[in-house]
Amino acid sequence: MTAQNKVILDVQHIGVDYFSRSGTVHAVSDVSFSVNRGEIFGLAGESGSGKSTLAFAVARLLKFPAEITGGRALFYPKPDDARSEPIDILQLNKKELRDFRWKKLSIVFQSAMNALNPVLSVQTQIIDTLRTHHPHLHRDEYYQRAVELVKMVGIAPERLKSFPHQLSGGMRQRVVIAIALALNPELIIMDEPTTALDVVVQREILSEIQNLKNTFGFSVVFITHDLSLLTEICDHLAIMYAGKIVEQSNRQTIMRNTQHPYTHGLLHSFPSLYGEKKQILGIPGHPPDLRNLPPGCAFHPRCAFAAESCRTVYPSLQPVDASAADHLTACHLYDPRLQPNGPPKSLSRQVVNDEPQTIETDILAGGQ
Amino acid sequence: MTHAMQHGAAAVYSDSSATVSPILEARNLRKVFPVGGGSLFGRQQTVKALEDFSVCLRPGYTTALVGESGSGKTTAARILAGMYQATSGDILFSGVSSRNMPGGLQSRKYHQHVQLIFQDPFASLNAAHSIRYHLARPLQIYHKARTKTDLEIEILALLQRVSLTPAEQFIQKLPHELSGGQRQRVAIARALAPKPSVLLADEPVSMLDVSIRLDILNLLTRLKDEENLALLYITHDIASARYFADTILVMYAGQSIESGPSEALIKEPKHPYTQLLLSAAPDPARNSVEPLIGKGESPSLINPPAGCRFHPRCPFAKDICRTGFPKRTEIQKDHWVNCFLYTDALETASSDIPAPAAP
Repeated sequence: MTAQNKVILDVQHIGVDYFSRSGTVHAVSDVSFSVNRGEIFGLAGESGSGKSTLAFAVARLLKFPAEITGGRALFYPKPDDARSEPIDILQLNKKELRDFRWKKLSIVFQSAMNALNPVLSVQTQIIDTLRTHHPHLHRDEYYQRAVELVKMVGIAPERLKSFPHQLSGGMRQRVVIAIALALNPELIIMDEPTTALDVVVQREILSEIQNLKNTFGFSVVFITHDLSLLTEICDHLAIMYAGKIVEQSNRQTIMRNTQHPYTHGLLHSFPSLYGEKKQILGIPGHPPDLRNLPPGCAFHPRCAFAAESCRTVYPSLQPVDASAADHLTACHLYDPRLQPNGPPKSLSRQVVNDEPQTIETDILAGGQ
Repeated sequence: MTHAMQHGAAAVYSDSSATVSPILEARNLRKVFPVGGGSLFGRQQTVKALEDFSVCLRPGYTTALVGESGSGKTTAARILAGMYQATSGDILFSGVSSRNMPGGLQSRKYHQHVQLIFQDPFASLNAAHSIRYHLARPLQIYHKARTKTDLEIEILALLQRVSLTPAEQFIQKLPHELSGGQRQRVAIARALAPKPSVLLADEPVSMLDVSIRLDILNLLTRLKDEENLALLYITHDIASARYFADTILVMYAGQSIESGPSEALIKEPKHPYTQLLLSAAPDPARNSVEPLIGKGESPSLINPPAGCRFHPRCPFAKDICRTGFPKRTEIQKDHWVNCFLYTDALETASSDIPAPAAP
């Protein structure tokens, strides 16, 4: 396989602005990443980091006051497809987009209750999707496909007659996934598909997604704020902060060789069920206001390692070192010109001095 | 008074490790909510939200209530806060039964001591009022400040305590000018204003960004230690309960199924549901992904399964599980479980019989 065949989505330098009375918000600026065929690509970040905006931009779902300010989103069709040259999703006209969306790329939204129409049965909603793209089939054919789809996601076909409010949260999310699968897309964008679900149901849905992916070979862009979840299911992942990617690599590298202090902070924001109980501090401060971003690196007010250069110059996304070309990070700590002694040995101290609320109290004192 | 005499606090605490006597105690609480109008001839349907719930909150200790949505954890907290009235059961504050308190759980005196922090700081603060107003109200209502200067000093002190600094700047802001974490700090400050002895925190961080959750939990722990508060931490995240709570109580579909010291419970979970919950929790430190045992979702509480409500999902369910609820079995000191895998005896508890010593 050539490199071209491997990649399904190549996003280049995309930017999205929101216009508001209080100024333009750069929700996504200059973001590039690529997704390989058949992989789960994770986009992690907090609220306001631009992860959903980015996904919506790629799916061309943004409306005014949002505007894509530049960049390309190249979609590579299957090698055996008649059209072999890449499609720039951002350049498609209305008709082409209608043809492209759902057949090639579909979306699973965060809140299944809002994504489904409460006054239509599950069956009607699935068939609606099918009919829109294949208008000339027989009624029975639509029905057969609907049965096939719900079976695929583990719902009994009897439930096709149900309305969304008659289904549990997990089942509704399964229906939304079934609708996303309706036309056998090659790429599915999943925007926090399990956030509102209980942990047990969440795990079931995740393994369902992995099974379906293995069966049908589609790729997934998985968006979530829950990094602990991504590190379990993703092949590659990108961490976003204030509209930019701050670190990107494969799962093992991100976990074992974390470079950016923000990623490190996020990874150490979850208490673990296993191993020693150790003191965890999270990340001090709070996410920035996108209308009023701090100069330089947007993370510097919360970063324990912030130096003068971080306050003035934005670090660009660079390979960490020559030997690891697929491990990118945007941090001055890894710039040899600014760090002649090399990066710090450990990112473990996250305490910032001017934030007294970062408690020195030993949280374990009461626990043992 | 007779009732309180019979089931006085001293009688129940046979456990010697419980050196600190509880400040707030729930005994055999049960809550049933009516649903719908009910037809003229049909029986009124009810949601059996909480069954036989008992818990002890001790000053300086954190107890976690862990369960999925619909497990009854919020109902329990709201009964403890005096917002709902229990269908049966009793609540004791400093050993005094709510039946013997003047005004019961709705009294201002009780509310002063038992404060609730809500899940959603975007909804629990009034968008039309400044932070000053939010904090001045409890201080005035509970007479914690006499003069205007006093009030200002107290408000600033509260903001300092929850690390909203510089306090002078925050005092005049409106909720929409604050981030989620800052709003939750205001909500915590408001709960601290009446100088309570018990804080009930209902999923205090689940609406917040991942990176600031720990800050808020660390803050609650610090306040608990500094002011010797009894803290009830309600969560669906069992890993965070391990870190912040001394005791964990696991609930499923309104029933309490297992409780113990947090480390012991997580290392050696006894109930199949606790085991399921632990195996489902996302954890990067996990070595392998084991298949889930007992998949599915919580049952409807309008017609809950008879006996142990987990039996339709339980891989070990026996006939007896479908008919009766098991008696509480003590595995180790303070670690108990309600499961027929560990006992053959039936639970006979009703609201008249005092609960066994809860941890």
